[in-house]
Amino acid sequence: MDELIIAGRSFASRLMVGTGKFASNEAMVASMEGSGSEIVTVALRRVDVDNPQDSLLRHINPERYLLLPNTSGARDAEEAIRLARIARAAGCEPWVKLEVTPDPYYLLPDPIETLKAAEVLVKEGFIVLPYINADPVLAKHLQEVGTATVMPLGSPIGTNKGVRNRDNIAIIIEQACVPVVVDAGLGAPSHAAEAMEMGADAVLVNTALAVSRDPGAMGVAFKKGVEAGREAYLAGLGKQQDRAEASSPLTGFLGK
Amino acid sequence: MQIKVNEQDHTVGTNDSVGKVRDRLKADADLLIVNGFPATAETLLNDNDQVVLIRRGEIPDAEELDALLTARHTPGVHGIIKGSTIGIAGVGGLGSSIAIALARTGIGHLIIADFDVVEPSNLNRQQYFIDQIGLPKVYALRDSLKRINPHVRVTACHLRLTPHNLEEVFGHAQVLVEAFDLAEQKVMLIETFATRFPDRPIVTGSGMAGHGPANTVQTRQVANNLYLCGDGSTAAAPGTGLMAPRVGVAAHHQANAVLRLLLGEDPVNEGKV
Amino acid sequence: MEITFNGKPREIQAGISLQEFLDQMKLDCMQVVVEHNNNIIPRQRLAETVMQTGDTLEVIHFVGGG
Repeated sequence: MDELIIAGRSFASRLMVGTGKFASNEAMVASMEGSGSEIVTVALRRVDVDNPQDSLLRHINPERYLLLPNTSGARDAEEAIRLARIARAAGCEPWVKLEVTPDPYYLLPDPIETLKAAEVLVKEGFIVLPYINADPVLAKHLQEVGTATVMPLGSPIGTNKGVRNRDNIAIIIEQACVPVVVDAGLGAPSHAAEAMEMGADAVLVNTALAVSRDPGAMGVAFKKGVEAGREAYLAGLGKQQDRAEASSPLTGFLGK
Repeated sequence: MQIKVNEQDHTVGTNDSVGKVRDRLKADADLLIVNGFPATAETLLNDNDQVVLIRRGEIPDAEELDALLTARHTPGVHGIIKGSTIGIAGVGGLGSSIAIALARTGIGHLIIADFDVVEPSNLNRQQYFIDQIGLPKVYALRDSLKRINPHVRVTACHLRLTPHNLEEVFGHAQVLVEAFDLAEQKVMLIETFATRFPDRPIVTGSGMAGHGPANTVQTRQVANNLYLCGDGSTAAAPGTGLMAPRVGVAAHHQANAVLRLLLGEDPVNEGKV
Repeated sequence: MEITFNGKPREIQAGISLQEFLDQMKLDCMQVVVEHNNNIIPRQRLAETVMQTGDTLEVIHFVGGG
């Protein structure tokens, strides 16, 4: 059985989904269901008492989905650690997507603060899934520190540009001792399939689902993309080459 | 009549030639071996002959290698080994030899971890080659294992093992092989793994330096789920350096213990655990 | 008395507990996490923790995110 195993826990689905930017809770739920995902990310923010919102958690069935709080909004290690502890205090299992993104334009993760926070959080017993740029050396440091996965970005959050960090992600996959989840920038099922064909263990998608006209159907499409990519990887992809190599026989041609 | 071709049973006509069998079963074979000796296409076969058909330079595919191992080890044994995952902490003198022995045996998945790189002084006992000097040991070993049995899955972890990452690295390992040098590292590993996975066996190595008699290297059970291979005392020191033969004896004690554990057998004595 | 609530100054009744504050704001303690003077207060201690003037209070909940 080709299950995804993270921190000793198995999952049938290799597609993780985010819950942000959806037009409505119904759209979000439709997307989650279509995707077949078992891990969903959420964020933490101050309640707005003047604009009470329907609680997000009421729409996410804890029997079906593992909640993965992210530390989005954190600009440094200290803020990220604080957010992780808050999520844990809410009664969540101690899984955290560690996200330290001080730059608001590209939302690229800060490698130094991420590593600092990871070390502290691992020691406090968290299961840490760190969001990083596709830096193979950083990925190694994080694995050494004890994170449960590494999550290199395909391209910056919300850009839908796909797997722009391909070569470095390939190195991370080659050298990884923990599952590699390609997260951010995956704008189409073909991007997700590409990441899986490279040997990624899973992908995380949010924006592409939320901004689509039909998030439920897009969820299904991404599910198929992830499955196709994974099956192709397991079946063994042929190598690329420059010179043509005939697929039909070179003898017995019909002559003049 | 019945013969074996590449370890598989086949029925052929009485006194068929090797060439005829070759044309039927493996037309591109250019090396023909009958009962251990090279043969020509004209050589006539007899009942129960063992034929090997080889195309030079060709890498056997997964199915072929599988068939060879199944035939050699019996289907029951091979099935278990093929489905197993073993963790090896440290791939120096012990770990590299253990990895190779298990890969040859057809183990399903090896997780190897070591922060070290290949140095010239390693070559006297560790399974590395001169052209690998400078490479991280886990990557060098992975390359070598691929050349032995490309169908063994190898997860190579180039990092320093700590109590914080041990569970992530070796979480899937059914048996842990402890193959570190230093006492504190060995203790850390054994304690952390045993605490987290009390039902999984650990096979550790200790005491194999020098060139004293090989017969003093033994496998002993020292605690519940903890087995020690070595003479338990001979530490490396000037005049008693680590040398390939005795290190190899200890390493293969460990590899054999792993095998026996996977098959439900007592590593120390005959019979079941 | 004045406290800082979610980054803004707010007038509240003197001597109320965190639990009472949540109830007044119609916030379900099961859906939020409370940080009082930079300490996370576990649910079981919300009723017994009383606020003083100048306290900082953060009430946080889960929202959609990637």
